[in-house]
Amino acid sequence: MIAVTATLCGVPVIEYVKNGDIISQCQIEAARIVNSDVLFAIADLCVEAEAIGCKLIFPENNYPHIKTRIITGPSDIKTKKIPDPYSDGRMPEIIKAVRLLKKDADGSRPVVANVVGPLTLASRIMDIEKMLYMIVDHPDQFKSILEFCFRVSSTFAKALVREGADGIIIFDPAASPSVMPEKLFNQFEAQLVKIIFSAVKDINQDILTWYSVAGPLQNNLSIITSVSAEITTVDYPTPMKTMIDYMGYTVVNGNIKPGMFLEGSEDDIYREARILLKTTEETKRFILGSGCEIPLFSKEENIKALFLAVMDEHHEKDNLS
Amino acid sequence: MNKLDELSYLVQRGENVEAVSCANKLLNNSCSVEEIVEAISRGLEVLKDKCTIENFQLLDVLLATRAMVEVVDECLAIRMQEKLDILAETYEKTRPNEQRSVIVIGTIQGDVHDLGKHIVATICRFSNFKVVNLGKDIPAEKFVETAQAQNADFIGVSSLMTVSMSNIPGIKEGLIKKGLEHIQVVGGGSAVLQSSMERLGLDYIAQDAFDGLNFFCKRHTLKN
Repeated sequence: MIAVTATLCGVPVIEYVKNGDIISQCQIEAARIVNSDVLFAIADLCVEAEAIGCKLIFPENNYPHIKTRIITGPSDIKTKKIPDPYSDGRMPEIIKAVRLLKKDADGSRPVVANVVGPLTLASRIMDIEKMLYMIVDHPDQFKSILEFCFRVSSTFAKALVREGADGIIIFDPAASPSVMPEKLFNQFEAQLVKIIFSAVKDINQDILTWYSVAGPLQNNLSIITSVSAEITTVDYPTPMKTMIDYMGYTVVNGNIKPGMFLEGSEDDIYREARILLKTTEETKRFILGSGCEIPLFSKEENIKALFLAVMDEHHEKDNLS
Repeated sequence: MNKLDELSYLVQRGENVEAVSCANKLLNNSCSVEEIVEAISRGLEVLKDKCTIENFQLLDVLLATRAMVEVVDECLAIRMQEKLDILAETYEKTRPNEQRSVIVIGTIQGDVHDLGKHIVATICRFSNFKVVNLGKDIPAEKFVETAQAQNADFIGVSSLMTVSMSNIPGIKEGLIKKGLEHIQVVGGGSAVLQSSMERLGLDYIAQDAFDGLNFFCKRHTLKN
């Protein structure tokens, strides 16, 4: 749960994404309301791009989006510096959210933070269409931009871990199988993500590493194994049974259709959650959740139904044993 | 493989530079503009069959549409001194009695994702539709006004962000208020795919760009 915690608490999204105190308050309050297990020190997916220099538009009740792109070619990147997580853009607010959540949660729930992956960051600072053309037409030029984005993601991730985050999600929808063939994923993404995870593990061996791309993972199963994440989010178009059969030592998280939290009923969510729990009951390597983010303005009773399904499943198992 | 088949294959593979070179050679060897358009459109057809709902890949489609656009802009447009309407003119020559359908397309207000919608606009243009591309973050009223002004047959609306979906029903509501119920509204994009036609006031939900194109083509055939 990211900014849906703001909408659950009646706080405008614009206030949530700009303020570490409010992120912390909304996460704590929403966790109390729905009894969730994790606190997320996450604002949105434009934090890194803004810190590099992109101008953003902040709607009152939606996530911010990029107004001006700053990179048209590899020469532009030479003029940019790696943002300082303690002073540039809203990065300090995210760091503040990590500190506050750690203090308030006091070990009761893990605090998980997020960085966007190098490909998604590149697509944000230079536009995804231009990025995809450059990958194909001028892969060497693209590598210099990607290297910069990797350093931004890595620097931010390490700072978040140093400040106490218990887990790091690398969210990288531009690396989705719907966007990128497996060959290019392996060429441009896999190794860099692996290095970021390795770097945060060097700081804290117990840190949870969590990887999330959207789309049908069954079209590129190497995503599961090649980046060495401990948790992989599975989006709703992927059959969970396929992932359970393939996942090896990875924990998978998912995959209720996010739109169902907005438009479905609590019965719909409860039923889908119980089906998923049955599908995965043979493994301990499963975390129930939505396929992608739980959307803004999702109904409170629908989110609660997700957690009720888990409790009922546990009670039934306890009674049987 | 003859040269026209080769052009079709290059477009399908997204080899833009080679496709332009091949098209220029064909034109210099007295191939007609109509033959070139037929060959590049055939490349699109092959891609349409290859990209299923389960196996859609943005990069392949993006590269193929770029190759098509470059062949038209760099090879054909010079000869006919026209750009965007070149395909229309060509089709009208080959099918003079067929009326082109008009599609008004855009991304709904609250969403700024543009790429998928851009691809749909391009492949529809290559399939003999007149496309009015409104852009992104477009209010429902603007779709309705433009559809009325352009005498449109279809509205195509895209949404990748669930929070923007609540603006989509306003399109059908606006059409009904103006007595324009005959204009069919087609939705697409990852947020729309998680909803239903009833909730969003849509006549069809396209699973991907080519599914949307197929819908437009089928309805267009019925009209003619």
